[in-house]
Amino acid sequence: MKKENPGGNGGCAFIQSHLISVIEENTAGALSPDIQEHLDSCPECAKLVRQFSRGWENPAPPENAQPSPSFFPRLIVRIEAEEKPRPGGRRALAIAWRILRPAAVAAIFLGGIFAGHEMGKAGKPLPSPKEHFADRLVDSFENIPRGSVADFYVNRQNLSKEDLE
Amino acid sequence: MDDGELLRRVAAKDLAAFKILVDRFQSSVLGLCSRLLRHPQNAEDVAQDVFFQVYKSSGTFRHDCRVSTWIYRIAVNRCRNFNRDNRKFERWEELRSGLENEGWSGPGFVVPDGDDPESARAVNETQTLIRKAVASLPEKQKAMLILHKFEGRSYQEIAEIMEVSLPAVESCLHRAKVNLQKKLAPRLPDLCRGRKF
Repeated sequence: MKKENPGGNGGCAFIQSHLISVIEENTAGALSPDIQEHLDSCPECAKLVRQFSRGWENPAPPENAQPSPSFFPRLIVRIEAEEKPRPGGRRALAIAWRILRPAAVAAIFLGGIFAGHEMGKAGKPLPSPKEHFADRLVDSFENIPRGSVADFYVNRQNLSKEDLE
Repeated sequence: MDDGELLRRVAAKDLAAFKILVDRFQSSVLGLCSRLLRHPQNAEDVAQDVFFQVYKSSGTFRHDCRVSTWIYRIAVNRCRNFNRDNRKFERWEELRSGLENEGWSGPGFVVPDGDDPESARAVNETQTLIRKAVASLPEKQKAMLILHKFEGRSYQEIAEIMEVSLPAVESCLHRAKVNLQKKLAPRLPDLCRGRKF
């Protein structure tokens, strides 16, 4: 515990921010003289420490700490149900399911990957960018069709006021 | 008959021995579950799971630690699993219990002999405040603090129950107390003034 100055004006704040340590030191009889001095002079802090000590050292009993009378009988019923031999067919099915379940999950996963791969192959190959934009490409900046959008963006700085009007 | 011998008999499917074992530990396991679970009303169900697991696994117990330590370990793990699995219902439960418990003063409100009701009420409020603050700690810190502070287990026992080293227990308990202090600090001025939480 960091020893600040519990005797000054911040004494109450110190006690509140280190309450658990103060209580444990108090219980162990190892309280520092500064803190002891503050507790002797501050009735509010002394009350807080006394009250909190009682709550901390004697925690409330847990809720529902007493088992119900049916606790053990219910347990026995559950154990007997677990130990009761199951019909042969159902037991074999349960074992088979336990073994096959991971295999089924793996098969679905791999099937998904394979199906995705096959679907990817079946489609047309993607056109190259040159083919894709063939109808929109121009040979040079001199041959931009007049009045087109490209013409507006590329050549508008060269337009005269008359053209703009 | 000591716990180890009882467990050997349980492993041999001796239900009478199992009953003695359950009678011996049911209160402490139920109390621990009740403190560790976010919703103590599920404590009995989880305690049933614990003893069911004890019965099923009694044959695999290696007798390298105390039986009580082993049972506590099962209980702590079951509670952690239960809390994890039921996290999604937490908001609804909080809302429901918040509505039900308006003006709730907490269980165990008893006036100790020689205490005036006002003083007992103050102690009860402090206990409620502590319980709420402990319940809001991270799972591992909460388990260790409950085992140490409320169940009175030694550091060594906690290390065995939680399957961690002794320094890890010390460090985790220190962090738990620091966190607890942080959670409590804003409420303490109200406690001084006797305001209800």
